[in-house]
Amino acid sequence: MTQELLPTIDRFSWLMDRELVPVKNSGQAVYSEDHKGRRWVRKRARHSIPGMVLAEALSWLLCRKLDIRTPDGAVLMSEEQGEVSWLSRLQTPVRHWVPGRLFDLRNLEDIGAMLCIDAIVYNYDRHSDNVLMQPVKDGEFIAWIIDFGNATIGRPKEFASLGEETPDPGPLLDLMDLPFDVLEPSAMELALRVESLDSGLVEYFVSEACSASMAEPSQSLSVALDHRLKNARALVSRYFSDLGGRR
Amino acid sequence: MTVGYKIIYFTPDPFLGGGIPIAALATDGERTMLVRKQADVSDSCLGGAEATWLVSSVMEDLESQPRIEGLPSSVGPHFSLGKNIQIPSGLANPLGWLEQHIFPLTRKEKPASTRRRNRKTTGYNFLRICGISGFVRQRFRVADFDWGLKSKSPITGLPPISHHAGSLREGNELLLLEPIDLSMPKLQDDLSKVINRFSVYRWKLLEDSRAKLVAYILPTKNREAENAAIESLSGDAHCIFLGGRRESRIQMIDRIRNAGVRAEQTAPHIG
Repeated sequence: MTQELLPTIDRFSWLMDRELVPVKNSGQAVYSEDHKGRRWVRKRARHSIPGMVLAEALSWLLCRKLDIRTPDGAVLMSEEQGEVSWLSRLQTPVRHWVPGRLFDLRNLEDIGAMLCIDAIVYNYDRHSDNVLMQPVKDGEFIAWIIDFGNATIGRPKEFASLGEETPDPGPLLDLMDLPFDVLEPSAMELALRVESLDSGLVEYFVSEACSASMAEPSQSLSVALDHRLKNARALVSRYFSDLGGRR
Repeated sequence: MTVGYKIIYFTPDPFLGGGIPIAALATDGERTMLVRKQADVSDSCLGGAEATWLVSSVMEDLESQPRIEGLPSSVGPHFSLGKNIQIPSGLANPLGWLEQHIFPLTRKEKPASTRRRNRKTTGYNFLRICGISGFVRQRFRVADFDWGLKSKSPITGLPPISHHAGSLREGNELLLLEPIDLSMPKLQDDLSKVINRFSVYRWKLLEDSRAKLVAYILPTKNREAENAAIESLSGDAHCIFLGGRRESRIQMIDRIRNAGVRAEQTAPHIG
């Protein structure tokens, strides 16, 4: 396995903070700028639930490997403040998801893929403010998938106890008022790809994410994630079945 | 009765802050409406063509559900609402006055153009997620087709159709496809346009041709609008598919795929 071909998480030690991001559910996220003038949305660990940075980092690595559209990610490690922050590359101009515009999206497959990843990492907090829509030309948008910070994968002991459970799809039903079976094929297509991910690669992702988020290395997290990835189609099928049953 | 308004500001760059007034929410205490700026705001002022489209899309949504209390979170981080500005009582038509005077158009300014969603694009995106866009062509040119009619006189004056699949070679069928998106703000205009197109095709081609006029309605929760659309279209469409009903969607997918596959199999080979 050649490490230089694998996604890695950039680490920064300096950022200049600007204004708070003016949306609810942002958890006191701020706009920040790095030494090269690149712009980020910064979420500080101390303003979030435990495991936020680990959840973001590990989900980001999976999305990158699977070519799901998500902004560039990085961490800020502040020795002075003794904490770590998750950084998501700023996308502008954007709006948040709104029902009724599903077919304005050029990358609908990424919405299906997002649901697959949510099922695997146990993200119970998918709502309209964490799907961004960026205009590309008149009449079309592309969707950016953001915010895995509340996913249970950030809390290894809890994640390991999940077995093959899938999250409650309740919040999603506000997000999308359209038949989920339109998106199920793209979710299942990704699940099939996910099942063939090498266990060694999964171990690397967990190690990289734990290092970037300053979390304790966790063998049980690797094992639990590998198990869920290998059973991705069953998880996605159960998730979509729950979605259908709750409508 | 409280009459007043709040300005909606657009911030192109959250790092620099500031805001460009682009519209207002006005209320007379009973009814709330969106008042758009009448003057054209250039793309470069807003931050590019994409920003202009973003503003248009948000304005479209706010127009359908205006609420003076606040902006929905779906508008995203670039939009903010100013403070409440009350106007004194005594006007006969306060909302009409606000509509005319919040953003008066000066003689030097040109009126705003409106960018709207594209029914053909949303329809094609739906076909793509159904996995059949590879069988669908987006541009239909009448002159390219031998309609296979008994009469050999040329067919002229047919309006364009949004998409098509299949062909008229060797017993195939040609599907002329029009999407109906019930969430479009100008739905009645769209329906009229499609019905007119279909009726012209029926009249010119009569029933001789193996071309089929197909309407497909994008998924929706609005059953009332869906039923009304079906009723409007049923006189002129040969076939109507409902994207939101699983069985109907599968039938649509199979029919388009079969037409497309047969067209490929019978296409002339260029050696």
